[in-house]
Amino acid sequence: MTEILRVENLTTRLSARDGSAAAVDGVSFSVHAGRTLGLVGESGSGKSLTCLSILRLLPPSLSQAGGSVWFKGENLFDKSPRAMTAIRGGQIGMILQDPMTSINPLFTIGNQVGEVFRHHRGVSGRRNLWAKAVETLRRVHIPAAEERVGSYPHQFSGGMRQRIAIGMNVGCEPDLLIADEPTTALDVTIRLQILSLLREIQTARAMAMILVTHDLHLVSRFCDEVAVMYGGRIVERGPVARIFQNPAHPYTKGLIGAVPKIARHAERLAVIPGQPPLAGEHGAGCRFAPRCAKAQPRCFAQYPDDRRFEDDRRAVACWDPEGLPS
Amino acid sequence: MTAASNAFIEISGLTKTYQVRPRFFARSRPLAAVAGVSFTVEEGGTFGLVGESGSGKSTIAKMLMGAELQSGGDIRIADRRFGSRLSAADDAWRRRALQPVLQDPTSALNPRLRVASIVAEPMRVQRSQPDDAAYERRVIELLEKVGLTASHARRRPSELSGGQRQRVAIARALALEPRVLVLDEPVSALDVSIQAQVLNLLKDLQAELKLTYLLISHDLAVVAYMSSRIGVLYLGQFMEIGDKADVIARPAHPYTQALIAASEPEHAASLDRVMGEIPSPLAPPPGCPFHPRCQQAVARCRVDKPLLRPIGPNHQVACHLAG
Amino acid sequence: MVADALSRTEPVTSAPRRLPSLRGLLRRARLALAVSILTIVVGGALLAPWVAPFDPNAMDLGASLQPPSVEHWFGTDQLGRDVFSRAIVGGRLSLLIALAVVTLAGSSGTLLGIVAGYRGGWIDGLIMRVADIQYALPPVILAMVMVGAIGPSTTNIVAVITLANWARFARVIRAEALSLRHRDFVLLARLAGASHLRVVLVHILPNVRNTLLVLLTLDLGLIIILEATLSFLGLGIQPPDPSWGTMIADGRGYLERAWWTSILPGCVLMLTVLAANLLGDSLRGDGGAEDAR
Ligand SMILES: Nc1ncnc2c1ncn2[C@@H]1O[C@H](COP(=O)(O)OP(=O)(O)OP(=O)(O)O)[C@@H](O)[C@H]1O
Ligand SMILES: Nc1ncnc2c1ncn2[C@@H]1O[C@H](COP(=O)(O)OP(=O)(O)OP(=O)(O)O)[C@@H](O)[C@H]1O
Ligand code: SF4
Ligand SMILES: [Mg+2]
Ligand SMILES: [Mg+2]
Repeated sequence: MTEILRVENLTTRLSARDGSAAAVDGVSFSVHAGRTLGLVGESGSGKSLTCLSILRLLPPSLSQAGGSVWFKGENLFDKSPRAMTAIRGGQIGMILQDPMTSINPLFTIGNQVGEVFRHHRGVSGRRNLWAKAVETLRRVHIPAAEERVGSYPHQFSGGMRQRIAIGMNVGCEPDLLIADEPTTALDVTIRLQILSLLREIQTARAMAMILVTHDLHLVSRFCDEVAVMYGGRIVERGPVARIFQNPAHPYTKGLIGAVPKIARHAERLAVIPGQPPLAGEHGAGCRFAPRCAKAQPRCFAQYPDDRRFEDDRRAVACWDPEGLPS
Repeated sequence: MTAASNAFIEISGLTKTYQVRPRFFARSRPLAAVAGVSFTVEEGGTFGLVGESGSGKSTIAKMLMGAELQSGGDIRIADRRFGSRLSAADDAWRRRALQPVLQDPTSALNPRLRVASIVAEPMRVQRSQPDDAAYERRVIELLEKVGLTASHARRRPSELSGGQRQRVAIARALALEPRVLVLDEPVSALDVSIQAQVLNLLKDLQAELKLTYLLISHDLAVVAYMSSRIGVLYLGQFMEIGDKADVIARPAHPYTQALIAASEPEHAASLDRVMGEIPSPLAPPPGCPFHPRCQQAVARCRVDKPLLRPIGPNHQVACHLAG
Repeated sequence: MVADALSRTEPVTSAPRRLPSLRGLLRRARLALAVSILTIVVGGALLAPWVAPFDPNAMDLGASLQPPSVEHWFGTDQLGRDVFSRAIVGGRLSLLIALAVVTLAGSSGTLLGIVAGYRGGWIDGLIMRVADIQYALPPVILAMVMVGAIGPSTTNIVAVITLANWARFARVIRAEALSLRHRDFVLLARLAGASHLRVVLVHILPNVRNTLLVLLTLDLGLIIILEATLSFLGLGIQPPDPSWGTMIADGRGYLERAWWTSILPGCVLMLTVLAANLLGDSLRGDGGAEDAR
C-alpha cells in the first residue's frame, strides 16, 4: 500500500499574527493509494481549512503557521506557486460542496471540461477537446452526453452539476482527490449516486481520497479510515470499522450516539451537552473537556498526547480513553 | 380513508397548483406542488412528512398555517374548516393554535432585535399580556422552558450559537400556548450533537404541553425518531403512509426502501437503489410518478397510475407491486 | 421535565471576544479624523458670524488679491474680501443645502424604496422605471434644465438636487427591502398577525438603517460637489452671497496671480467631502454600529 499523502503537524492560524488562534492545530494523518480517509467533525472544527491548507489555497487573511504536507514524497510547502497550480487539478483533484464554485455559469459544459484537458494534459484541437468532454460526461453517467455537452450549467440539475464537477476533477486521473462535503447540498438519493460514482472511479485508478463530511453514516459506508476533528485537532483516528464498533474518545462515542438511527428504537438520543468551542476559544487542556462527562482536573490543564494502540493502527488523544488500559 | 375519531388535524384531497413561467417569454404552466394529499394527525401525536427537495413538504405546511391558500381540498383543525372563505374568528384561532418553527434559525430571527423582543413579538401582536412586566415574566418563563436562561433575553441573535437560536425560535413558537407546532426541517441546519439536543427538547415539550406536531424533514432518521405516523411524499403525492413501525420496518414502496437505504448507507445492500434525478414537477411522468427511477418498474407502471391502497391496518401504499 | 431540559442547557457563554487589531485601530483613527474635520467645518459654519474674522462681503479694493498672511489666513480676493471669512460663511450655505437635500432625498428615497421592495408588483415597476429615468439623466444637465426653467434660488436648488438624488436611495433601499421581505422573520411576523406597518417599522427599517446611514454620509459629499458645480456654473447661489462653488468660480480668472482665491476654498470643500466619505466608509465597515446603544 503506497502512501500518497502524509500531513504532519499542520497548523493554520486565523491571522498572520503569531499569537492568533490556530483553527487547525497540529493535525497529522496519511492517506494511501486506493483508500479513503473520512474527515468528520462539527461545523467549525477545521475540516475545510485542513483541506485548503493542503492545497495551499488559504484565503489571504489566514496564515500557514507550520507543519508539512508530503505528497508522493515531496513537501508541497516547498513548491513554487506555479508548481502548485499545476499540481492542483492535475495530480490532486478537489471537489467542493457547491458545484457552482468550480463551474462557470457563462460557458458551456463542453468548453469547461475541454479546458481542463487543454490546461493539464496539453490536449489540443477542438475536435479532440470535444471528444474528451463527451467521454468525461459519459464517465459520470450523464445520459445523452453528445447532445448535452453543448448545454450551459443551469440546464443541469444540482446532482448532475456535481457529477460534472467530479468528472472535470478526476478527468486528469489525479492520485489524490479531496472532496469537501461533496453531497451535503444534494438530496439523499442523489447523494448515494455521487458517492458510488466516486467509489467507481477510485477503484478503477487506485486513487487516494479525502472525504470531508459531518455525516457519520456516509463515513461508515464509504471510508476505510476516519479522522475525527474537534476544535482544530484530530481527537481520534483509525480504521472505520474499529472506531464505529469501539470508539475510544468520549467525543467520538457521543457523536455516534447522537445520530438518530432508523432501525434503533431509542426513547431518547444520547446527547453531548454544551456546544463546540469557537476557533481558538479554548483553554490549554483537552478541547472537549468542558463537554465531557469523564473530565478530570488534568483534562483541563494539559492537552493529552496521542496514544497509539491496536498495532499503531489507531490513535486517540484522551487522558482516559474508552476500552484501553489507562 | 381511516378517519380516526380523535383526529385533531384532518386533511383530505389537499392540492396546490402554482402557475409558473419556465422561461421569461414562455406561457405560464401549472405546477402541481401538492397533488391530492390526505392524512390525519391525532391530538398529541407527531405526523412525519419525508420527501426530497421539491416534493411539496413546505407547501403543505404553508397551507396548513394559512400562509398559502389551497387550490383544492379540505383542511380541518379541531373541527374547524379552513377553506378559501374563513371567518375572522377561525383565522385568529389558527394564528394562536398553530405555530411554525422553520429550518434556518438565522433567517427566522430579526438580527436587530433582542431575544426578549423576538420571543414577545407574537404576544405583542396579539396583545396577550396586560403590561410590560407580564411580557417580561412570560419571556423568561418561555426561555427557561427551552433550556435557556433569563440572561439570554438581552442578547441579539448574533450572540447565540445555532442551537441556542433554534431554542429561541421554539420559545417564540410556544408564546401563545399553541396546540400544534409545524416543524419545517427544525434541525437540518444544526450540527449533529446540537441536533440531538433540540430533538430531545422537542420530545420533552410535546409530553409536557400535550403538543401536536407536524414534522417535516428530508432525513428519514429524524422523522423516524420523532413520529408516530409517517407519510412519504414524492412529487406532491404520498407514495406510502402508515404507522412508523410499518413504514420503517416493512416499507412496501420502492421509494421508501430507497430512502431508508440512502439514510443509512451502511445497511444498504447496493448503492444504486435509485437511478437518475427527480423529474421536473412541471412535466411529471405518466403512470407512476416514480417509475423513471424505479428498479422494479414493470410495463404497467409506465401507463397506469397506482392509487394509494391499504395493505394493512393504517398502512397505505401507492405501488402496483406492493402487498 | 423542565428541570431535565435545564440540566442539559449549554453553558452561558459570553459574546465572542474580539481583540483589538491593527486594522481596528486604523479604522478608529480614520473615524476620529473624519468626525473632527466635520465638527470643525460644521461648527465653523454654524458659528460663522462669530468665528469669521471679517465681514465676508466687505470690500477693500485697496487690499485686493493679497496672498495668505497672518491677518488674512486665506488671503483676499479681487475685491479685497477676506477669503477665509467667505469660506466659513460659504460653507454655511453649502452645508445647509446639502443637509436639506440629504434629508429630503434620503427620506423620500427610503420611503419609495421600501414601498417598492416590500410591496412589489406594479408599484415596484412604476417607482423603479421613474428612478431609471432619473438615473439616466446626468444630474448637472437635469439641474441646468430645471434651474433654467424655474430660476435660481436656494429653495429651487434644494428642490433640483433632491430630484437628482432620491433615486440612488430608492434603488439601494429597494434591493435591501426586497431581500428582507423574503427572510423568514418577516413571514413569521405576518403569520403571527403583524400588520404591514409593523413589519416595515420593526423588521425592515431597522435592518436598512446601517445602509441608509452609509448612503447618507456618502451622498453628503456628492451633494456638496453638485451644489458647488451648479454655483460654479452660475446656476446655484447668486452673488454676492458666498458659497464654495461661487468662490471657486470667481477665483478661476486669477489662478496664475492669486491661486489662493479658488484653491483654498476648494481645499476646504475637498476636505469636507473627504471627511464625509471617510465617515461613510468607516460606518460601512463597522457592522456593529447597532450595538452602540
Ligand atoms: N477566511 C476565514 N477567516 C477567518 N476565520 C475563518 C475563515 N475560514 C474559516 N475560519 C474559521 O476557522 C474555523 C474552522 O473553519 P472550517 O471552515 O475549517 O470549518 P469546517 O470544519 O469546514 O466547518 P463546516 O462543517 O461548517 O464546513 C472556524 O471557526 C471558522 O470560523
Ligand atoms: N411560490 C411558488 N411559485 C411557484 N412554484 C413554487 C412556489 N413555491 C413552491 N413551488 C414549487 O413547488 C414545489 C414544492 O415546493 P416545496 O417548497 O413545498 O418543496 P419542499 O418539499 O419543501 O422542498 P425542500 O426540501 O427543498 O424545502 C417545488 O417544485 C417548488 O419549486
Ligand atoms: S408502481 Fe412501479 S414504478 Fe412505481 S414504485 Fe411501484 S414498482 Fe416502482
Ligand atoms: Mg467546511
Ligand atoms: Mg421546504
